[in-house]
Amino acid sequence: MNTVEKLKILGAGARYDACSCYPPQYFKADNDRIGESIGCAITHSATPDGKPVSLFKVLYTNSCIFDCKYCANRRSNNKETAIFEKEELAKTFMSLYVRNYVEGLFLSSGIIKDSDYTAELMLGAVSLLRNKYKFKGYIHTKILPGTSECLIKQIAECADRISINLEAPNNSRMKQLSSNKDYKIDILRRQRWMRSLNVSAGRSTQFVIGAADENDEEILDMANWEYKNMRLQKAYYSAFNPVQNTPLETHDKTPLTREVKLYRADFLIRSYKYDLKEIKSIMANGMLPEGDPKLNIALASMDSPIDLNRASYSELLKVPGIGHRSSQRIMELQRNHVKIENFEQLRNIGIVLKRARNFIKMKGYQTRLTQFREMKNVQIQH
Amino acid sequence: MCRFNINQKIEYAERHRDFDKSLAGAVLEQNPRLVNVQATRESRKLYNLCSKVHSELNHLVCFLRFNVNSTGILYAKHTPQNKIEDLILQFFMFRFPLFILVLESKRGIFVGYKNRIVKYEDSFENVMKKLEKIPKAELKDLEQFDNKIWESFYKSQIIKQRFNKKLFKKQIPKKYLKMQSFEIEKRDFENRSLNEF
Repeated sequence: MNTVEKLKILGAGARYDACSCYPPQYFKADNDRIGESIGCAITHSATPDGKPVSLFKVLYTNSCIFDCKYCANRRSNNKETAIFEKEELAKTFMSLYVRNYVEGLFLSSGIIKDSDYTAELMLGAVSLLRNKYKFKGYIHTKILPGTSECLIKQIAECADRISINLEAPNNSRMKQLSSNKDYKIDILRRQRWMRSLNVSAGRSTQFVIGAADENDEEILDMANWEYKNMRLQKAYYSAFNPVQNTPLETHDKTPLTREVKLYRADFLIRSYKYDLKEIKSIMANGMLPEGDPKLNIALASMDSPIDLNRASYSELLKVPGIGHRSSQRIMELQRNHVKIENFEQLRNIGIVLKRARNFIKMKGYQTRLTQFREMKNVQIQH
Repeated sequence: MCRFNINQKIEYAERHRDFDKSLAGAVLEQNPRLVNVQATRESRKLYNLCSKVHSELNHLVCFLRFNVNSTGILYAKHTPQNKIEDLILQFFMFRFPLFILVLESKRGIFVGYKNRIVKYEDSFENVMKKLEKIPKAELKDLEQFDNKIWESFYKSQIIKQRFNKKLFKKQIPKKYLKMQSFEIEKRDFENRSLNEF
């Protein structure tokens, strides 16, 4: 099998893995190298599904000893298998990298023989890139469930980011998805080891949404716990899509809007420091309601429009249409005693007035929060 | 608060093809606190010019694809709308310190090597001949490249159930999709029937 044929199989095996390029916190810029990872939050192409292609996202092999019910690479699935040679993988990646087709490498794998054996193969390919090709760009390596601690340490030394997929929000949900993957030992224990490792672009994880019929509350509970206890940089959510020849092929597809809502709620927790209780307060039966979670929380919790000339940073962040940058600009004006007097100023600052207008008190303008909230409630009920 | 100070904004805006010097003069006369947060019309206009230049730079850093010749020179051909050839090369010089980078544009041939950017008015072939004599990085067979590798990888990443035409267009704006190096993406996208989206 040649490289082009292998790529067809091993690229397709990794396409459901969500990842993005994150600039590392530190980078040593010597002259005897190829690549860098500082300006790496960029996209080099996109697929017709709108998904950015920034990383060379492949599996090392698609053979696997696990039998996760949602996965096309599961043990019992009759499929064409392929495996890369270390040199082949490194050279293919480098030939794309120097031509600026990709920004970095994302390497995951199915598990052949056992986790340590496969992790050693992956480590070999990554080491080859770092040592022979002097590649100093971005590498994201998946940690396979069940990998030993010393191998995880060695992988962390070579990679910019490491991650292990949780897939399900808790042990009972995991049992629904896989009969031979131990949630606590194979995944959470590995995460605990990863927590103390110094990885320049941090750690991440991924959930499969809807495969085990879990609700949003369970997922956000787990994500919040991970951010607090596992020093996680980011959680990814991937809406379940039934794959042919798997036990879940007749299972309902998870709507993409659910994935979007979870990303939005996650962003509120991670970046805007919302308390999970605030997000739970708008949930119905453990599910996020339709629409933007930030707007729904503002509608449910804000009693009156706020005065931008007096509001604190955290109060500003709670207003839909105002983000970190706009809040910083408003705070700068407050510090310099410059009053905001009209909506044009706000638009110029970068506030999305369409969303923010009803929550802002502006001299000379009638505020409409109450009417707006009533109108919104009517819409939601319908 | 803005990621650029006023001088940086003017520096970037000056590279814009529609830049007018009187705009910079008008902005410099205004209250710097308001200018800093783009709260005046002129400062917003200057900021828009600056961000258009910056946006083109960011896009080209993403979308410009190089060829590698047998002597280890990375070269590409593209004429940006704004005068940013040197900025593009600056980015890639940091990324590939061992390589010679050549960008052929209608404004000239720009060569970047060892933290220096030189503009040549000569023909592309003559410039390449001159550069071939300079010692460069060891290539380790990286000059051999089959476009089928990219095609195969690109096609393997597509998830049919998630087709989203609008999002694709947002990720790769039309003017960049026209670039020769995006032939595979363009072909794949245009050959899909509406029902597939």
